[in-house]
Formats: sequence, C-alpha cells, structure tokens
Amino acid sequence: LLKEVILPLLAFAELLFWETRVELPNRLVHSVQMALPLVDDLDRHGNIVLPYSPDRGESISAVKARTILPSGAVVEAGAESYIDALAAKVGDRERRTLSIALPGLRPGAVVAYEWTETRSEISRVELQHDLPVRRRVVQFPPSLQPFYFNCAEGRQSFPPRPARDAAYLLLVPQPTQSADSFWRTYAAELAADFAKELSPVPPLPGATLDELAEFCRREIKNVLYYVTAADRQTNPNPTPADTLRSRRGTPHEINLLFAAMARAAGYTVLYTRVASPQFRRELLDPGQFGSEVIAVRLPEGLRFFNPGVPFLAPGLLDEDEEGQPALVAAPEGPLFVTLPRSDPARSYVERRAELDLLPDGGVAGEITLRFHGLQAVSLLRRLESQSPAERLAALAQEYPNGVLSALQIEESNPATVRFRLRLPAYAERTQTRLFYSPTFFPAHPAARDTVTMSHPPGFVPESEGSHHGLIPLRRVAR
Amino acid sequence: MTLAVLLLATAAQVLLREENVTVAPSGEQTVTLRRVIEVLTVEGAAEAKAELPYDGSADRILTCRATLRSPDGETRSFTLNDFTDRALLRSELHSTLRYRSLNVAALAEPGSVFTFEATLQHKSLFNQLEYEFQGHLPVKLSRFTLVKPAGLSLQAHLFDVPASVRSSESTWTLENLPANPRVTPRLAITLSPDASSATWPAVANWLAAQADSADGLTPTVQAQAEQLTAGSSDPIGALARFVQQLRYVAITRDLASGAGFAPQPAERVLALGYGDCKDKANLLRMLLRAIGVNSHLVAINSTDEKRVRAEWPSPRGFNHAILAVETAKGVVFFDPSNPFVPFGEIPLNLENRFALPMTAGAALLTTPVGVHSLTRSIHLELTAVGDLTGRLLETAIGQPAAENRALLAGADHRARLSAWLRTPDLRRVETANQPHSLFVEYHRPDALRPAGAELLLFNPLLPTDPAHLTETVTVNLSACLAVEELPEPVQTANFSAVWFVRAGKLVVERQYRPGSSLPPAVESLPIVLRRVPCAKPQSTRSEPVLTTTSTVSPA
Repeated sequence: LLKEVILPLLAFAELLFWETRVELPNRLVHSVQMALPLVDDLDRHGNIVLPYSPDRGESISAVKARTILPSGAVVEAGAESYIDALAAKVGDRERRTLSIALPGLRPGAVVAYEWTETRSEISRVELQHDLPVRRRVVQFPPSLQPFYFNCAEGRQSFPPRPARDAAYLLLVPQPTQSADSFWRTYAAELAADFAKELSPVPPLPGATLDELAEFCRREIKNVLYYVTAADRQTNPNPTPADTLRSRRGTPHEINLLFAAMARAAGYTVLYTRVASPQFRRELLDPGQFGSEVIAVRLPEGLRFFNPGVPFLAPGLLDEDEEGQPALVAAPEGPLFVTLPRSDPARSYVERRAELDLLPDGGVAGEITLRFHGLQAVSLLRRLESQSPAERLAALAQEYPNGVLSALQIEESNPATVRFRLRLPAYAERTQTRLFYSPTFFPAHPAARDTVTMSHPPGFVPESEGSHHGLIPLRRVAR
Repeated sequence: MTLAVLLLATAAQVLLREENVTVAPSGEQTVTLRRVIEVLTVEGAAEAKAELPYDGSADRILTCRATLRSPDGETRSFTLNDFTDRALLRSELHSTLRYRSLNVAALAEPGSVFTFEATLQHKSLFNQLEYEFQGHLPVKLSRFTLVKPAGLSLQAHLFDVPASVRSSESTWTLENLPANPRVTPRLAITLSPDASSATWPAVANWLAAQADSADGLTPTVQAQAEQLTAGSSDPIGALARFVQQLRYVAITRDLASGAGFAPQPAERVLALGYGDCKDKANLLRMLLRAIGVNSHLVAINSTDEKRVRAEWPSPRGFNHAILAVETAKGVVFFDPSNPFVPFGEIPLNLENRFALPMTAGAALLTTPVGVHSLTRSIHLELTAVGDLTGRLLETAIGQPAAENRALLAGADHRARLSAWLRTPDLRRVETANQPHSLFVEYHRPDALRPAGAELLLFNPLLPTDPAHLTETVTVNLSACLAVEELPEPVQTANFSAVWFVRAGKLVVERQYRPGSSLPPAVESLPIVLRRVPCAKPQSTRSEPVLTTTSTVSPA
C-alpha cells in the first residue's frame, strides 16, 4: 500500500536572485531567476504580472522571459506569451498590466525574466517578493544615499513579503549639508511658524496644565470627530482666540489654543512633531514626521500634551505617539526626544459577566465591559465610525451564534459597553452532565475579569474540592 | 428583536430591474438596462452599486450613468467617467471581457435610492438572448422587453419563474420576487427565420466547426504521443496524465467571433506548455488519435447544473470542455483540466449533467454518475495524561480521492494536515494510488481536557467534509482511565454515529451517505473518562494495530 512516502519538503518556490540596477534619472532594470520545484508552484507563480500606471509616468519595457527546464533545455517566451492589457480605468487614471504566461513550465524548472521599469520617482525600491528571495542585489549610482527600512543594512536574503512593514530601500540624493544644520534650520522654521500662530488669549486663572488640556479637549468641538458634513465645512480659526470664541476647531487649532492658554498661564510652550519609530536623523526629510504635540517646559523637564485628540484621558498621549521619536522646536535648537509611555496599569479593560447557565448548556445574562485609558481610546475610535447596527454587529462577531440585546454604550474615558447576551451551547452537554469553563472571556493581556455563573436547577457540582479545567455539573433527580 | 433577525432583515430592495433589447436585422443588439435600488438599512448601503459587463473587443457602451437620491431629496449624479472600467477575470490570465462598475456605498444611507441606466451595442454570436429576473435582492418589478426585426420568429422559454409571470408577445414581467431565490428565474429566447432550426444537433454542428478548426495531427504531436506511450501498459492513462499536468492558462480573445469555443491547435499548445480547457482537451484528442484511439470534445457547464436546459438548444450555457474517449470498455468522460481526477473517473462537478459532444449532428446527453466514497480507520493509543498516538488510514474513491490528491499536492499539505489533526507532530505521512490511500501517524500531548478532580473529556473524532463516509475509530485506553459516559447514538436518515466499548477498547463508528441533510457535527460530542487507580502508570505504550474496515457501497 504505502508506495509513495511524502517527506517534509526540501525544495520550495523561491527567487534565486533578484537584481535591480538603478539608472538615473528614472529607470529600474530588474533581472530575476525563480525556481519552481512543485506542480503547485506552477499554478501559483507560473504567470508573471507586472502592473504599471501610465498616467503616473510609469512604463514597462525590454521584457524578456524564458523557462529553463530541469534537462537544461531553454524555452523562450514568444510574442504570444506577452500580454499588455488595461486592468482598470477610472476617468483619466488607468492601471495596466504586462503579463507573461511562461512557456513549457514543468516542476523543477527555473524561470528567468527581466524588465525595465520607468517611473517618475524611483527613490523607493522594494526588497521583498511574494516568494522568499535568496539573493537580492540593488545597484545604484554613488550620487545616491541608501537607507534600509525594516531590515538590516546590506541584507541580501529575505523571507516572503509580510502583509505590513515589508523591507525596502530608500535612495535619496547625497546630502549637501550636515544633518545638524538641516534639522536646526527646520526646527527654526517650525518655531517661527508656531510663534506666528500663537497669538495671546486671556488666561484661565488657577487652572493646572491638565485642566487646560481637558478644557480644550472637552469644551472646543473637534471638527474632525463626531460631526456632520456641515460641521466639517466650518471656517478656519485664524487665531487661538477665534478658536476659543467659536468653541470649535481642528485638532491643530485646539492644540494651538492649549499652547496659547498655557503660555498665558506663564509656561514656556514648544511646538513638537512626532515621527514613526523608523525615523532616521541622517535622512534629511521632514516627511518623516506625522502628528504634532505641544511640549511644556517644566523644572523637571518637558511634558507633552495633545488635546487635539478627543478620546484621551488626562495625561495620556495617543497610542501611536507614546514612545515615538519626536522633534521639539526649541529656541536653542532642535531637541530630539522620545515621547514618554504611560503606565500600562492605566490602560485596561474590566470585564464583568453575570450569567445563568441553562439546562441545555446555553448561558444568558448581562455583560459589562469598562475600558480605561488607551483601551478606551481604541474603542471610541472604532465606535466613532460605526452606526448603531454596525456596533451591534461588531460585538456579535465576538460571540458567534449569540443573541445580543439591550446594548448601552457610554462614550467617555473610561468607556462602558453593557449588553444582554444569550449564547447557546456554552457548556458541553452529555446525557447526565454539563461541563463549562469558568473563564468566560477570551484571554486578553490587559483585562481584569469577574465572572459569576449560576448553575441551572437540577444540576449539582460533580465533586467538592479544588477544580481545574472545566467544571462538571451532574444532573440529579428532582 | 434579536440580532439574528436584524441581520436577516432585507437590507435593500430592487424597485425596478429592466432590460430592453432591440435586435437589428444585422443581428446587432442595442441593450438598455435600468436598475432602481432602495437602500433600507445601514448594511444595505453596500447594494448601492452597479456593474455593467461587456466585451471590450466587440461591444460599445453608448450611455452609462447613475444617480443617488438621499432621503432628504438631494440627488447626486454620476457619469461614465465616474465608473471604474476593469478586466473581468475569473480564472483567465487575460480576457477581453470587461465591466464598468460604480460603488457609492459610502454615500448611501437608509432611505437612499440608487438608479443606474446604461445602453450598449452588443454584437451577439448567436441570435439568442437571456435575461435573469433577479439577483440576490428582492425585486418589486422585473421586466424584459424585446424588439425584433421582421422575418424572425421568436421562441421564448421561462425557467424557474413563479406562476405569476405576465407576458405579451414582446414583454415579460415579474413582480414581488423574494430575496435569495434557490434558482434564478430566467428567460431564454431564440430568434430564427425558421422555428425548427434551433435544435441540439444544429448547435453541435456549430460547435463541431469550432473544434474542427484545430483538428489536425502533426508529426510533432505524433512523436510526442509515441514518446509518452513507449513501453506503457496504459497508453491512454499515460497521455491523460501528461495533458493533466500541463498548466491551465486561459487567454480569452475574439469572443464575438466564436473564439471562446475554438481550441488552439495541438502543436501550439504542446509548444507553449499551457492552455485552457478546450486547448487541453483538444491536445489529448490529437495525442489519442496518434495511438489510434477516437475521442470527442464535449461542451459542458462546470459550475451551474441548471444552466443548460434541454428545452433551449444553445451553446451559451456551456463554460467548459472535456473529452469523451472511446475505449474498449465504452465511452469514458475525462476532464484534462482537473489535475486530481484520473482517467476513468469523472469530477463531482461534471457528473449527471447535460453535455453536448462537439461533433456534427450530436445530441444532448447526460454525463454518468461517479462513485465517491471515503473509508477511514483510526487507531488511537491514549495515556492517562492525555498523550495520544494516532494512526489514520483513509481509502478514497472519486471526489474524496481528488480532494486528498489536491491536499497532498500543495506545498502546505503538512500544515493543513496538522490543522485537521490538531497537532504539529506528524510522524509519518504516506500515500498510495489506485485506490487513493492516505496514512498518517501523529501524536498529540493534550488530547484530554480535565473537568474537576477525576473526570476528563475526550473527543476522538475529526471534523470531516460531507462525503460518503464509513469510519471506525478504535481507542486503546490507558489502564488508569475508565469510560464514565458515552454520547448517545445519533441516527438520521442518512447518518449514524455510535459509541461503545468492545473487548476493552473504546470504539466509535460513523457513517454518512449524502442526502438532503448535512452530517451532524458529532465530533464535538465529548466522551467522559474517569481516572481510576492502576497498578502501573501509563509509561509503557503498546504498538497500535491498524483496524481494518469494510469498503463502502456506491451511492
């Protein structure tokens, strides 16, 4: 019977090499060799599809492909194997594909193909592919400076491209000035712009910094959140005083108002821009910075505030700002800092289930979820884009086959979600017993759970003493 | 109101679904489509969309526009430039079929009304038309109107429509159609100068002409056939396997001139090393001819068993080509595009269906019913700490065998087996053909779930796809474990599962015959075991013995 033993795979589809030569001003010349050892690989990778967008100045040329069979024979792709087609078009924007149906493919074949890609902008060169790459080489002129992202510098072999944070190479012109000089100039420009925008507002006597931040967060309607389309079409506020008067503003206007109020209270305030963890000081590109926060200089050091984000609890920065590199535009020159992380103990979920176990193995009862700190921020962000039906549907996904009702949500920080739940077949049922897990909620690193489960009439715990695992209940005669 | 009811409530409805077709004496059709969709719930916003399929090489879109009227009466208009134009690719690498689409879900709210209207000029290969009265949404009014040229007679067939259809000589109307019909109600029309000319033999003649365009045995193909069959005791099987292993690549062009039905010459397919269904079927036809075996291309529908109707002779219902091979044992239907069903078997999706040989004068026929069965035996050794060693042997025929072949051909087959057996520890994986057999030896350290101080839960059954199944699971329990409670037998018209203890071993027998109901998920029913005092803990392990089981009878 057992004639063909299937061993663990020793061979897998991979790019043996992928070489890219960068030719200024706008061309990338690629050359690839791909090994396809299995029948399955032929179906998955036997057609090469090269997408490009002519309206963005992209084109594909000098395409050539051949199949090298295990015997060494070479099958060149003829003209009929190349198909240039319109893939999608909206208005004047179009996306085309150049597809190659590789000829004569057999398991164990190696496919060699090359093409020239012309783009309006060639600074970013991808290093990863759907398949593992054994040797990735990028040749570029010395006038370009390389920055490797999501991988070590000079790395040549790669696993398959991940869904996010794929490795790439950024090629930029060699700098004409030092990094110190560049960032000093940039910080000075930021500080000057900030000073121009920061016109005076009347002080709020006796208010602490946290109270000022909360005043701006709660009393000024943030026009990016919780608003109708008409709200968004609000006129810009030229000054912080206008923001205070209109009681509405963009996140930037709200941050400016906070800064102006803190300054009116006698504090030194500094404009600060936040980057991603991949920030490189040697890469002279302000595009590395995204959001903004306001730094306040205190005797013990800098404190950072972002009242432009509506869901934050006092003293918190946004989730994607905590621990990130940032540039503080101080008058004495740029300060590169790492934004502080909040105490994880401030951000948690209290989960309470008060349930009745039913004789058929189902449960019914009330669930209360109370989200604190950044956990509340994540929740409120999600809720903000959901209709009531979508909120219910999203919750229902966490309890397959469950019936949810009486949903109540308190949208504050902390935020509370409360609903009634009826969940069939929670306990496993045999002819004479029910077995249920006392841990009702799925594992969550930041959860504090309380579960109360009342047993159905006619069932008693199987045995006294310590339990582990499932709890058995035995049916008794009534 | 429960959530389940909320989600099942109608999210949107079609107020009007209409198609007007004017056929010119040249055969060219001018088609005007109208759809009016009312969004009823938040979820229904996703239905505020339009799709217009067309043949980019032959059809011409004359107009294409849409509007969205919000509940407060504000109307937004969309023109052709707002529609996305995309290639319509299913399994093809390239196709001239395209579609224009518009999705305004982000702008639609409950109470909105989305209207779509388009006109296109369509060159039809046949003087035949089809209209589907609805999609998945409920429809208030669905109407098809035809204006035909003088001199042509009209034959109309209504399939799966409610009795309430209203029709005149040129208009067919249905009202108040419920959502999600089991079979789509459809209208099929043939226009011809002579009502008797639309016959299956006439369709076969036309298809034969397409197939004949690639009929020709060249020396290269002859040489290839001789090389492949040299010394073979099963020359037909050898050629079939060769063509099965050629890559499936479909490149669809010139549909309006019938190229969708015409295979490429065998020599060209051989040189390219790839082809679509008709290319592969025709290549095998030529290779078989080279060794003196007759065969015929056969048109069939591989996805919709209701698409081809005996009452409406037409090539339009076919979407696949296979081969009928004349062997000493009779005609064998074979699908060279399916790499997992060997010569002699017919894939499940092609059995018991209307098919038409692409041979002059052929009549519509029905493909045979295949034999599909799965016999599985599992022998388990279970220790008191939940250490499980399993030996699984499956013998599969027909569709289950094809599914196992597909599983084992994948680079990820170990991962998929591990997921099924709930363990990464696969110690042996072996397979054999004729009949297809799979043997897996595996180990799990966590097969028991504690429940209190003394009880343990154990689930020996594996989830299984619905197929003809005969299964026996035998469990050698540790002496430190005793059976406390077994599930009650489960019996339905086409399913049975029974748990019992025989000769000191725990046995589960499960049988399923495909029928009107799916098999109950008895793998979730636990066996309750109890820890009992034992002289020797479970450190020694006896060698498992493979249990043999009888084979299964065909359906």
